Amino acid sequence: MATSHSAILDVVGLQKRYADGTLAIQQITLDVREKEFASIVGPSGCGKTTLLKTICALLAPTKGHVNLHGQEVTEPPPQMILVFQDYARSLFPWLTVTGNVLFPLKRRKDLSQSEKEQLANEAIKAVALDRFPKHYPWQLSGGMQQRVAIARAIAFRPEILLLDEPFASVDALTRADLEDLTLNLRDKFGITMLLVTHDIDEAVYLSDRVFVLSAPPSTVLEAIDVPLPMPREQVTTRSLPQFLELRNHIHGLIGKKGVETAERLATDPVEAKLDLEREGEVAL
Amino acid sequence: MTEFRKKHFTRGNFSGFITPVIALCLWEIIARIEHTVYIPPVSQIFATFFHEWFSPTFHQQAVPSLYRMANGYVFATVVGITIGTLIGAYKPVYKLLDPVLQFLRATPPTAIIPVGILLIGIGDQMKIVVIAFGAMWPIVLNAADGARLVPFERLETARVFGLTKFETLWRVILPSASPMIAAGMRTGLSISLILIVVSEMIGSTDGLGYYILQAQRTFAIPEMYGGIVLLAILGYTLNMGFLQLEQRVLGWHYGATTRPV
Repeated sequence: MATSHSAILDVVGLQKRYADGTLAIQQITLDVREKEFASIVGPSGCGKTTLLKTICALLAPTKGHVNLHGQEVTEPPPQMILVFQDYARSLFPWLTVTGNVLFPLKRRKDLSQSEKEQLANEAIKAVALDRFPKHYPWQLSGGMQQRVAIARAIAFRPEILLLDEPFASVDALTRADLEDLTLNLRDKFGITMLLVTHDIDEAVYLSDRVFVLSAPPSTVLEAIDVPLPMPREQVTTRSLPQFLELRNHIHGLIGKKGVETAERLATDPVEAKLDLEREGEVAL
Repeated sequence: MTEFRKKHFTRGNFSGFITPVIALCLWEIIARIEHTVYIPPVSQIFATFFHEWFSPTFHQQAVPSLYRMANGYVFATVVGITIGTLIGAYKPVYKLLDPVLQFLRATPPTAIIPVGILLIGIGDQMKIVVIAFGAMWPIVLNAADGARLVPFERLETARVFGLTKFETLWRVILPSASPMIAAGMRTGLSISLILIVVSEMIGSTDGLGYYILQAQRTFAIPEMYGGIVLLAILGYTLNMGFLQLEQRVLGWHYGATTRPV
């Protein structure tokens, strides 16, 4: 469905080397289309968080650039909001649910107070927290806290939501709930989603397209279309033969290259890193 | 959270009451047996206490002390929070100033009283400056630590939503640091009390410090003890009041830290 739309976000030859010399991402090129649910999946420690932070300009790339609607991104743009994995640290503990959701809207001069409240209430309702507007984050479960963080982002009405392993620190049932909630929000608010995860099944289940990353320093191994029917459903979708094919294919990709690189890094880290960097220079 | 605190508190209070009652009874008995001028019986101290402090003496001696203390403390708080938060929020400034601040904090604040007298004289101003200077350091350092230790994700969230540097400081860093700032302010409060007494003992013509020392020098022993009792009550009340206020303002913090999530 989303494939008919054009790209709104272009990531071109992005590289991030930290000040200490670590090459976190080597060269990443990908595009995200309007109203698409795209996922980036890769082995642990492949620089996924770094990639997301570089995409929304929290970090400056050492090479390459990010274009949003053809405009180069140099400061975090209001159209692109990042939801962090660690909700406990990204929410404001001194504010209630409503306070947290209103927080970014407070400074918007283009909206009246009642409009702000309406946006906040709508977002809180969309994540099914409308019974807890006056609760503080610490009075809520982990899954509910992450929903507050998502509501806060939704209320701001971004075009793109960047999700950094947002369901990694909740239990399996809550996780399934949050996954379906995210799919609903995409439909309801027409927000483009870019999710980073190390969970291959989750990526396949949620996405229209999956970008598979290699072990660090990362590159995109393959961009895979996920033609599974919508709406998705936890049990039936996950048992489709096509679903299994896709996940096995990705497992194969990550497994082969990922394991190879990890082994080389373990046995001969210096040489392996040099190798990878050399490959990177060639690729660029 | 409140249930937890209350339970803890009342239980402590109940057995905690017995100890001072026994101690005061022993004091009374020993003082009556020994009959020394220097240790008058508790009953006499309390009689003098009520006679002295429910009279114009309170206005003449206690009010000036409270006035100086309040001024110095408010000044220390405002300046301390401002400087501390700025230092903590900007890493290069922190690295530059932290060793100096640690050194200044380690200097006993009473040691600056002679400097104060030398530069300003022995008026109200000297005491206010000395209190402000002494009470400021724990506030500065705590605010700096609090501002420095704001979770990274919180600052990045502010950046993602496009907050300016000032908005981040005001709406994210300051509230994040507030529990530590409160701890610094409480230390500052007790330092203020120490400094007002010492500075009034060294150079003053009124105030509680002056009163106690004057009583001792004129062998008005029960009055001297009465003054000490008043100071103790004052210190206790201020601390309790502060804790009450802190629990109200920082309720979110106690909720988040004492209840298992």
